[in-house]
Amino acid sequence: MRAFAAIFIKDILIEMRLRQVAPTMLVLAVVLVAVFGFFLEPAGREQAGQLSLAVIWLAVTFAALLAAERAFAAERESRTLSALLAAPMAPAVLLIAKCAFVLLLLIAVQALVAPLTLVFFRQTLAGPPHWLLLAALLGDVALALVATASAAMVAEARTRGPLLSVIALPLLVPVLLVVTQLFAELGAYGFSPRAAALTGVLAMFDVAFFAAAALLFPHIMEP
Amino acid sequence: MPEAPTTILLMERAGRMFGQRRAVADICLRADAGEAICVVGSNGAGKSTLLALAAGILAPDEGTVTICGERLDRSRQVRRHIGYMGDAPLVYDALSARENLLFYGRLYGLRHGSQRTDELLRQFDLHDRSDDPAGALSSGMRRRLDLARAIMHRPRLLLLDEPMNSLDPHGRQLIETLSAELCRTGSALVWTTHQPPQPSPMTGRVITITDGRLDGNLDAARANCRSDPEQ
Repeated sequence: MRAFAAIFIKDILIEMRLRQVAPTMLVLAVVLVAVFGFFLEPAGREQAGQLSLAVIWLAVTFAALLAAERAFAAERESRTLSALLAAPMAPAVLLIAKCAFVLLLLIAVQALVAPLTLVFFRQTLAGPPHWLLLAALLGDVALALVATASAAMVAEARTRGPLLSVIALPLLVPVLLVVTQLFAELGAYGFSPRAAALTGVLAMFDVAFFAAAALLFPHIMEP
Repeated sequence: MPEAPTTILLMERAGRMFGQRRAVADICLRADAGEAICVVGSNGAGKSTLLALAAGILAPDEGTVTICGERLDRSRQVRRHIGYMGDAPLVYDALSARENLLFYGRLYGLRHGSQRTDELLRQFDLHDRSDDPAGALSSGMRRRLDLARAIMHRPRLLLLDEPMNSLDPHGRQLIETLSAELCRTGSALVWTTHQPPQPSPMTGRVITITDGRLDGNLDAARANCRSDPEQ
């Protein structure tokens, strides 16, 4: 727990000092929302609701890729990964700390992008708030896990940006399909049996991604 | 009968490949408490790989590495006995010297990290620049900061990869004094250099590495890496 907190706080401190990721993520997300908001003209209220959900999650997905790509930047640039690998902690602790950092940034981006999108598409937040929050959190965790583990794989590659997208995006498609459907379901019918099933599927994605990432991470990280 | 010295590092036939290239092979090395070992070799001879295997940063493809009686691949906690300094400073440029040391202190679960940080900053003549970002320090100061980081948790095995690089005579003197002090208090030191070492308290036993293999008679080396003299 101490090692996790040390890495997590260190990453926040470095980001607060260098501001390498958060501003870029926010600008990208806002531009995406603005472009879609100005140029898409939904046929009706229902379509506008679906489009707004798609735009929110698209913006968050691209923000996640940006954040994850920079998640190992401090270690790559200062070559400190060796010192972390030599420390008496399980490699999964490093993964979880990096993932938590990406998740924090994602939540910040989502907190800005979601209301902005609703304004652009003239929508109101529909559905039970605590279930919507849970769905958003489960979706963000899946995005952060996949993006961070993929970023670890390509951390030493020269073309890590394109590689990251190629590895992470196919894995994220099912997550995005489920989370947008879940939001639509919660908005239309509240916490229905279908919403419960979709929440379960999303939670299973999180567990599966975490298990796979934790198993692969020690092999990925060895220089 | 005198008590046998405690074995701190034991590498038994350790080897490592990178793709098709064998970086080190058949490494048999034992470092006892209080012992200093200097590994000399030219660039690309395998010195850094040897230290990375001993530090647990790289896993051996063959053979084993044991630290203080525990296999490195079977316990993560045994790593708290290891202090590792790479060939380049392993510090975060955006963090100050103090923050770097505090970070590594937390990583190793130190209880009095702040106290130890102050102690090391004074010992390494960094207290005047302790709040400056590590990236703003001179290369020699970064090197000293890196050594302070490596010994922050009082390791029993100190691994130094080319420690004299970028250091002025004062820095070298500091490393030599500190290494001698560590050996006196029962730690073991393994360090590498590409130049023949000058006689000093940290030189200790000198071993040459060539093309990934430690020089000398292999049978003698294997005999030397047995932890139990009775074996």
